[in-house]
Amino acid sequence: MIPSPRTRPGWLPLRLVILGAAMACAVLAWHRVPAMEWTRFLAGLEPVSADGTTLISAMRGRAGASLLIMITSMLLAVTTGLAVSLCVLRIGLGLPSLIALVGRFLSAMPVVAIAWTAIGVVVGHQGWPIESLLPHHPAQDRDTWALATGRELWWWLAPSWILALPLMGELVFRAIEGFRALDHSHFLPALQSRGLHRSAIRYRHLLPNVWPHLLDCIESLGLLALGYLVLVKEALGIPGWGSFLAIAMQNGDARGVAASIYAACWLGGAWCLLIAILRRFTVGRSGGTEPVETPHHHQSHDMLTTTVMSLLLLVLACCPFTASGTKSDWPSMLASFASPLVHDLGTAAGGCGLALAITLVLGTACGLTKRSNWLSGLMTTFAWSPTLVWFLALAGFAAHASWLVLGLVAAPGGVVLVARRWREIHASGFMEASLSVGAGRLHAWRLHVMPEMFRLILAWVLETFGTMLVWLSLIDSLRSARPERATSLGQAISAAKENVLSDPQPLLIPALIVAICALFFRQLSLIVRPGPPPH
Amino acid sequence: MILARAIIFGVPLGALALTWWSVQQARASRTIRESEIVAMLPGPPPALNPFVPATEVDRQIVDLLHEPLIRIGADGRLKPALAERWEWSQTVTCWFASPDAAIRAAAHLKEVNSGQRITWGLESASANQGSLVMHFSKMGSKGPDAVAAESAAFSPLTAEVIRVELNEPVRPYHEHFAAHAVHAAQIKRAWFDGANALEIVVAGDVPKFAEELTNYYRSKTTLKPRIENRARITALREPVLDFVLREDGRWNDGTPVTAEDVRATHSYVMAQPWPVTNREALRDVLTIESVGKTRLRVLYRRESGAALCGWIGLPILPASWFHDHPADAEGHVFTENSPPGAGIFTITHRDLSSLALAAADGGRKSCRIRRATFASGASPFQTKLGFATGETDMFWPENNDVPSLVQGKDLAIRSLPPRGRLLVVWNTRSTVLSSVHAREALSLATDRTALVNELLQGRGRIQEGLFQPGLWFAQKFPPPLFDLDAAKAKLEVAGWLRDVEGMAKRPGQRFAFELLTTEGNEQRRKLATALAEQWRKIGADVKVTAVPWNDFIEKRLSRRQFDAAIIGLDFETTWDQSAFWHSSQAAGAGLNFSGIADRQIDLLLEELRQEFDPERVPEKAKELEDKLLAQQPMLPLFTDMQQVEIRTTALPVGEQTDEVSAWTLRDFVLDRPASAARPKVALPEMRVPDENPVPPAQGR
Repeated sequence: MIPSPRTRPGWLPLRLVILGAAMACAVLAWHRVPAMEWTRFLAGLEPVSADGTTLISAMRGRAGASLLIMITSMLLAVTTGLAVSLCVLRIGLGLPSLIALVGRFLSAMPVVAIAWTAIGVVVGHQGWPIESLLPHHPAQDRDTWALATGRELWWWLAPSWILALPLMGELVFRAIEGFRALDHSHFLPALQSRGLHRSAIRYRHLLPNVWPHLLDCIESLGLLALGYLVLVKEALGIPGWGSFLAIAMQNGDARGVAASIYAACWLGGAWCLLIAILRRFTVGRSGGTEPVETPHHHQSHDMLTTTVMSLLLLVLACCPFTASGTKSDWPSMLASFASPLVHDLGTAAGGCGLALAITLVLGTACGLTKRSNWLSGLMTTFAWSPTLVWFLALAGFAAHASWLVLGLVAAPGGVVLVARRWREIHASGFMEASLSVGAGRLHAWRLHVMPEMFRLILAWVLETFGTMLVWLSLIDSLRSARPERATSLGQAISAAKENVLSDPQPLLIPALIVAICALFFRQLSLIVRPGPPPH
Repeated sequence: MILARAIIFGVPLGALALTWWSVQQARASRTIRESEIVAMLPGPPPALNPFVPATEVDRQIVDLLHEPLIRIGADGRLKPALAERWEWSQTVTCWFASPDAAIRAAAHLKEVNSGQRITWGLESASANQGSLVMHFSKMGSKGPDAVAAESAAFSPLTAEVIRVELNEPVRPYHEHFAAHAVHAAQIKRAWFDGANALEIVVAGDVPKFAEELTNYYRSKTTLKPRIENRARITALREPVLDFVLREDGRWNDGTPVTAEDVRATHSYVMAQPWPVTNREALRDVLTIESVGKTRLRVLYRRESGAALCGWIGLPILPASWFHDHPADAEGHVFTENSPPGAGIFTITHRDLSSLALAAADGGRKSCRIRRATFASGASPFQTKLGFATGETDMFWPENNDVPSLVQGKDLAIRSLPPRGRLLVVWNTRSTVLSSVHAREALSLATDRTALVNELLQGRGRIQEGLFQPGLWFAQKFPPPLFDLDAAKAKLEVAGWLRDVEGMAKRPGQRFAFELLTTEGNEQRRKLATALAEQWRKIGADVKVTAVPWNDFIEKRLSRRQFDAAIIGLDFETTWDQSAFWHSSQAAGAGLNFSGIADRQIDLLLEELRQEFDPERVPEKAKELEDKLLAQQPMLPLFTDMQQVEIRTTALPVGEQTDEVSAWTLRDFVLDRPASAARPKVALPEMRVPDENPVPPAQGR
């Protein structure tokens, strides 16, 4: 549910802080905390845990460490993503499509599964330590600067790499898509006709064109990464902002959750501010050009790739387990996850249904007004806020109504998208032109509005549905209740993580199912999305 | 273009290289551990309250950090710690109507021939303002009686012990009274029994004093004073315990441990309501007097050899630390500040997640382990990680995890000493359970092994007897008998015959009783249910009732309104069991809930309490146990058995400890000569006569 860069509101850092304050107060009000305490709470002076720690002291070290891990992860994700994209684009031969799909697949993997698998590989397979899980304090006389620096670096790099993986996947996809769109534009032949070298074209001309849109993507991915950070920190036992939220959620501590939400918005605001500074230095004041979308005729290629690659990935994912001599029969093992999958599909469908209903009502209401109003402003801010954090925080209070929280969290993105499209259609003048040539209103609407809106909403629903499946798998790993029999894929992942050192298979299979399903729906979304008007 | 390329490709490659290097450093950091252990602790970080350890792990760590005067050694016997030696003596004081009489009495005793004095054990006799103070070298001898008879010719005054109880703290009122009363000079001793009670010894014109005292307190009606004369005596016998501290006893900062530190420790502890082990024994202390830096004289108010036990395992802390750190009832002072200790280890790092200890200067030579790190709040997964990466050497597993961990490789299990026990107390005055045969039948029908295995996953020790297992005076009992046939026979002897449904009855009455347990304690509820099931097999109809803790004690046990009750008792290192079984405690707030009232048992209890020679305690303890347990006032069930898992490579070479014997962290870190280190004795070569010895290079 990464919002479209075109909908980015101005003054985003400030909006996020205000939104965070409002959300925190809403949580406090919900738990009947007297309104008198809200001001002190927002000032950071109110105790937020049982031992009387104030918000400021609780977040003093935690927030800084969290932001630093996020920045490091994003740096690794962006550079690695670009390096991979540029390499495969240079090779060509259909490899970019495959790698883009693999990137998307990676971004659809539940981050909790990535984190625990990484722990399984690093500790269980390699026998290496993880500093945050088992801090080591050797005697001073036996410690050297190299050992101390190595331990400190490893403490930071382990979570950074883990968090970077899903972000890198998404960035690989976005970068390849961006470069390929330019490859097929009129831009490239002009440069080639001037006799420029291929690499010079890529680095001097294409990259600066792709970069602003990647920057928008990085900004929204950073807000998503805040949610991922909660899970990575929980898995790696890092005492940061994320683990604070996780503990507050598990204990049902309203003040702790409110504090985490508020802090998340401050972190989000800081992140957006950093991106704004980076944009100022690398793109300039204008903010870049409009994003170039993939031409329509490439969608048939995507469709084929989706079908073939999804099946291929499914087979590839299962092959290692059958080949490793496991005693269990993998088809029956997969069948055992059918019921949890159906459960998750049902919950996601419920969330999508609610989000769709809200989107249709509010999106149309906002879109039909010519000027932006407070509602569309609020929805835009919501869409550009750390929505995964909202979901994780609020779903903790509504364990049996995850669909409701999902629907409420996802809806603002749809509202903004639909409202914007309404305005674009209105501004395009197709309707007026149709009416002026004597077409009936219904006919004009059926011809110019309905196909466009239908595909737009369907694409958004499919994309959202895929994301909801991933998010649902994340929330269960934060819940302290562990039912004996897993009723959802998230619970299956969560139940398997304790044994990941010896056997990562029970954790990976449900995670792969989630990722493949999410990839399937996201690719479908790509297929049905409305393309740009023909040149 | 070059910059863009350098960033795009350089950052990930550089990060990969840095990651590889840092991992190797982190690994290397862990491979150079030597004489170090890392332990994973469950739950919150240890509070390290030396006087009231929250958990057994806490107790084990405190034992490394602090030293008591006396400790229990690995063989279960008393061992000197900060105290080099100790000995009992006694002081007998008589009061006379005039100072002259006291002087004459003292002079008379000095004229007694030395042989007689030695027989009496009389070391000194001195007159002091109308009182004659005599010091005897031994406790329990007949000397004081003989001397009292000698001094009777000088007409000593009769003294009285008066007890005052108020609704408020009594100390300020007593101090005011002592400062202003006309007959205040008659107060010879004052002992505060807690905050609201006072016992005073008065000699002189006692009736007038009592009248003045009564008038003083009765004028303050809100205090609701309760004043009673406790005893009338001609001489006051006061046991004296002399300690000689070790010359080389040092705090971690190098300053010597002094007698003043011991006195300050006692005052600090007794000023707080902490449930310190053997607190009752410490309460009997009348005064503590420092005699020089290394000698200490403790005066007790009553004769009790078990009073020595108050000092066993009581950590001694520096007086200067107490001065700077006022105590609080919850003991937060120890969490916020780590007091220096005189133990073999000292704290080098302490935060919310870890505690690091290093061998102190004094303990470095004797320790096999020089550094210990305790990581708290460790999840089972972190523990597994610790073992997988070779970083963790020790952890305390949850009950449910033990069966799976036992099968793990490279792990050894050790069991910590028990902290408490569970037992069923029978109400011997209950109509159903008044017969000793009936109680014995229930005991025979109890399969304690099954209870331990089913309820505790084998993590419990079956316990018999009154005392903490492993102590020098605790008997070793054979495994308890579980014999249903014998149980049924016993029940029949008691008059309970089984009907066709197998339920025990006698005319007009069923063998039905109530088993009380505490509400909210799931483990005890399960235990009660399991016991009821077992007893049903011999025809007992048992109703399990769970009641809130306060009602359990105040409304049911204290009023003796129960048939049987499951109670848990912490072990105390003492041989005095009067509080639980003496007939004087069988009513009201006394702890003799079973209602056992046997004159012979009372005498044995008193005799045992007054035993000052630890070597003679086992004999008397056995006599008491045999007599008491024959009465079946209780059914001992089992003790706790907290287990610790240790990496086998961390264990000392040749260690012979099994999985059930009591094991302590202190024994683990200390460098004890192991069996493997014993010098090998050359075996005589055996060969038949005339056989040539085989050269070493050939035949072997």
